[in-house]
Amino acid sequence: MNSGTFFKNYGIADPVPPYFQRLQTMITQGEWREAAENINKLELAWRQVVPRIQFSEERDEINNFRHSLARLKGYVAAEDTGGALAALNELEETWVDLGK
Amino acid sequence: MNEAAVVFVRGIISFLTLLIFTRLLGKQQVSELTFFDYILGITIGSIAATLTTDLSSRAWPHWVGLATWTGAVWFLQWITLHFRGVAKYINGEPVILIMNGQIMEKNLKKMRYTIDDLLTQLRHQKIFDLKVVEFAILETDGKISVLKKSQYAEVTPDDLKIPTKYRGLSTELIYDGTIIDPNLKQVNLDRSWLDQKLKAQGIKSPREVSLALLNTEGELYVSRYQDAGQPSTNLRSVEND
Repeated sequence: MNSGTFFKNYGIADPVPPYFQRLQTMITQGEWREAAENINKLELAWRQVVPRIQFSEERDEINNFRHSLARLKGYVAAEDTGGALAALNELEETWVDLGK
Repeated sequence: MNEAAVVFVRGIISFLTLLIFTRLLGKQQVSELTFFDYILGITIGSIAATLTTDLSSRAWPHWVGLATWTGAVWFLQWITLHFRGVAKYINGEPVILIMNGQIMEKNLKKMRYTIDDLLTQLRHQKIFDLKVVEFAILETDGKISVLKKSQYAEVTPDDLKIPTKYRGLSTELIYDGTIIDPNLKQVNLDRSWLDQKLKAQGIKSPREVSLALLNTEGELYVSRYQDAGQPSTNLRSVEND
């Protein structure tokens, strides 16, 4: 019931947390194409995490991450630095809250 | 997120948790529960149901809630076992509703019990005439215990000085087609004796027997799977015949 904190980080081939720093650098430097590619990779990494944490985490938290990711995709497509950074921070915060 | 799978897993967790927790709380019968016990049971069941299907919150807080309520009930049980004064306050006390044949109206009011309720409860006990009743006591589980006047009490063999034989518990010798050897040993008998008894009733194998009981007078009761010669008990098939 409390395994989410453990399973969201361990035993994953492509872990989620490094993407936050990487995406922040790309967004602030205006590397939009690379950022879009990395968001797709982040989405794949997230899909690996969900089956592992779904039994212990709130449905709404899992959905929030998906929604923030979709918002980030939109801002990156529109090349909106402020919105993209806000969505990225929201995404990171949702990730940190998982398992708390 | 596979919601059905999550609900299934949570359901298994709730089920096993309830199984363990109810074992911890003992074997009190539903009929013996006080109103408070009844409400506690509903609350614990409700938390278990939420733990299973409420995916908008994590399973852990619900499980902690379940454990807390079970712990509280267990603690209350412990207190009522060890402190009689507290037990009286928590479970309530039996209240006399009829004393020496007279209805105690004040006690009825105090218990929010109407005369109709009292008469209904008496009728459930096959008492249709109040003059038969010496005492009627409202128990903590809401049921009524009745003491009849001595002239209306049932006659027992002891009243008539009739000697009676000892009647103890029967011993299971065959259950679901399997001979229970420890029970056979306990009554100083063996399989050859049992085979002989079964053959005398036209039974070739213990597998044909669903239940065999030996009473304290040495009589063997045997119930077979195929009740040969018995009329059908299925109402529909009887109607069709």
